Amino acid sequence: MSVVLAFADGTLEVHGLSPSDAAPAECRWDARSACHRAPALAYADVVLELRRRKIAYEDRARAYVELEPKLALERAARPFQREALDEFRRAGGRGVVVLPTGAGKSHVGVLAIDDRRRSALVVVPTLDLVRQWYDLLRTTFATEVGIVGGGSHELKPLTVTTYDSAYLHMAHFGARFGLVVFDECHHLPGATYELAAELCLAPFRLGLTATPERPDGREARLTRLIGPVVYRRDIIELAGEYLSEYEAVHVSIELSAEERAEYEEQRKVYLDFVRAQGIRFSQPNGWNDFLMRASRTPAGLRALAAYRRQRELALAAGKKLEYVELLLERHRRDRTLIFTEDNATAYAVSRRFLVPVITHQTKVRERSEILERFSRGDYGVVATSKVLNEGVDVPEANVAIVISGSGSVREHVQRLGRVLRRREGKQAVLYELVAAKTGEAYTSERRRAHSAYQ
Amino acid sequence: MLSPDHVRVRRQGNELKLLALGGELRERAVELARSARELACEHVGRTREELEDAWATLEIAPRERKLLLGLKKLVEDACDFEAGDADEAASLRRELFLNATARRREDEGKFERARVLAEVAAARGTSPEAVESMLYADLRGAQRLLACHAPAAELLVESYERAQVQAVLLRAVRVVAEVRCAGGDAYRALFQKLKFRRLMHRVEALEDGGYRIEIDGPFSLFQSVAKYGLELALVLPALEACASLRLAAEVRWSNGGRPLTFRYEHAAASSGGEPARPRDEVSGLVADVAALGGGWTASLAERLLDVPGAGVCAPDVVLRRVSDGAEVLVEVLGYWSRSAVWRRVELAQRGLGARLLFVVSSRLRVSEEVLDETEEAALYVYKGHINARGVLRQAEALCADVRR
Repeated sequence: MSVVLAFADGTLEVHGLSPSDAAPAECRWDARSACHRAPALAYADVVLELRRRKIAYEDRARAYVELEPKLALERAARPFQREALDEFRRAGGRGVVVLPTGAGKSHVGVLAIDDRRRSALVVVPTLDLVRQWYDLLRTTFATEVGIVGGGSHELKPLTVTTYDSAYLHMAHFGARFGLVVFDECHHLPGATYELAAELCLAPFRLGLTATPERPDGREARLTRLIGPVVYRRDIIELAGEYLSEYEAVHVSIELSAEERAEYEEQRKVYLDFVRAQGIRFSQPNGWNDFLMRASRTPAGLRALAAYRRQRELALAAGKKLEYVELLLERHRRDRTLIFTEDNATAYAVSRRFLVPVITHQTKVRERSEILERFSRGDYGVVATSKVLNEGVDVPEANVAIVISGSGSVREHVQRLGRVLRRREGKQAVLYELVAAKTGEAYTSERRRAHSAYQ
Repeated sequence: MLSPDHVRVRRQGNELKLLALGGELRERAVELARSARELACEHVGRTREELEDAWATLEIAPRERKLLLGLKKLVEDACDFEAGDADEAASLRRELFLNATARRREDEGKFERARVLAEVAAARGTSPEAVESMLYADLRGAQRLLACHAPAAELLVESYERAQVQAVLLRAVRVVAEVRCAGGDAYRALFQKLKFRRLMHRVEALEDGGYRIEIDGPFSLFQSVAKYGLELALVLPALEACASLRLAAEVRWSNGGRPLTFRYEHAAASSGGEPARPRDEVSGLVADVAALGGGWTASLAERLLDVPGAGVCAPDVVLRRVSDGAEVLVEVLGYWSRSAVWRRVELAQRGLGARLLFVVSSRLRVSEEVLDETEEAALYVYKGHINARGVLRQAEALCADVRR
């Protein structure tokens, strides 16, 4: 009996070898199904090993097809994009390319799809990016493009999906793509999302990101899930020539007297509890420890409520919105993106300044319309919480106002990246509004620990 | 379905245990369920956000937080909400924001918000206040509560207790179930459910006649993953339909935490349910064989035949020859599914390790000859009603074949 390879729910079944036969690397004997089994990720290695050992096999696993050759829309690649593709090829079609936001990572993805010419799946973190990649692939390859996510489930040789949908559905369609492009691939090495890569059979894999580093250090997993970092360029290497010149302005905002009094009062309640309990936030589990202890007693619940209130006072200080008003007057003819940490503030901004807002609650059709009108100039301002942090291409935007955010360096760099896409004569500016003498000042220091802000 | 955030548990060593709702706490749970339900009924006609604000005023002790969250979820699941007209709200926003953008660019002075609202309101023949209130009327918090169908408080608390088990299984990476079913139908329903949920299993017979079934997913061979948690949770009703169930699940309750064992026992009789009765044609066959009074006895089967990689066969009846104790297992496939017959043929050809007779209606257009080459299995095709004599004739032939 010859060896038969089959794709089964995100794994590779190797039939025809007995339990005692030397199976290819990564394969294990599975008594449940009386065959050897490997993660689908190992498909390429298994095939190469069978060939090397001259073992005849029938491949019923691979279900991907070759794409029609040739791009319909040729766009000249910048030198660094061509270099990135060359390094990807040299690594056997597996690797991560690190380029700053606005430098044209998506074009590297398009070049890789054209180069490999296998049915390809593009995995992205948000529905806005699904829409953007859908438009890009459709115009570049002049073919129908499938979408899985946001209520759609249509598979085509070129398909775009979200990390959430890839995690949910890769076990079903993971054999249908020869190349998978993980956009913003720093999302991949989480405990759940990385299964999307494990359950996919694609022998060719490309990761695209501006910031592969993760606070949990799991970026090392990218080597197994995609491949090694094969090419890297930083913002400061490309600013001016390929990215817009920019200025980052840090604005310290004083709380009002009433806000300050309440802030100090609430912060004391919160910190007194933390000290009394001996909770140390310098410990890796400090925050979880606080949450656990806070949920056990009435005093803890009061401390948790006080923590939330003092944070809210700092993040949405009244004077921040007054300052936003000044900035919107100053930049009345520019294209401005306003970022907030939470949805409530984003909607408050929308109501106060009568500007459109995009949050996770905004339906895809309205998101598209808002971004289109923003590109055309019908709208001069768009407010958002986190959903526009990454990837979304708004080249006309030249002003970013960060009202509030997390301590994440990546988030802050990504927000700056929204206004960096180069246009002739464009000078970008990012305003970061920080409540003075509050916990937010420390958060701001942490998120600016990047060369882009030095 | 509840989520793990709604579940009251404690860790004891390597075990995860549900906290019992007994005594005063049970009374308190009923009280909270009553309040949550009454507030929902009182808020019919108002928004989801108003209902949530009202629920937030319920005073609870810290240890009651998850209980209240779970009860609110069950009440919310029993409510009908009406979403605002999304197209109308989006159209209003478009008009308002376009007008505001134009004003901001044209007017050199301070942006006049009130003026923009007044202009748009006038164009729509409404007031600025109405424009403001309609601006985000399509968001979830603005949905209007139409009706609340939540059951009485005592039933809500019982539902909460039952739903907690399923919610724990959402974090399961593997389930080991010891089950005993009254007959082949119940076993078949269980394995059909496992197959439908794309789960994998290992079956082992227990000394007391039941089976130990280890359930997880294909990828579980390499890593303990919670990816199959939803499927494992959805299989619970099929497991509970067995006459008796003893379950041990390996759960990942916290991120990066050590695996914990969750145990649960259920008996159909103790929960007020009755073990499933065999189908009429199965009980009819058992009765007919007994009535013949010949050399064979018939009883309901409680046996599973597992062929790894091919499937599971759950016979309905055991025929036993009085003279030498030779056994033939019978599965009554009836007239429902032709593809089920072909799956059994494939199983038989892989070797079931016992004599099997598949009883099939002629309406499925399958010939007895398809299993002629298989020593341990045979088909008996009947027209109209199952003829016990015909079944026994095939059973005799099977025993003769094997002896040959």
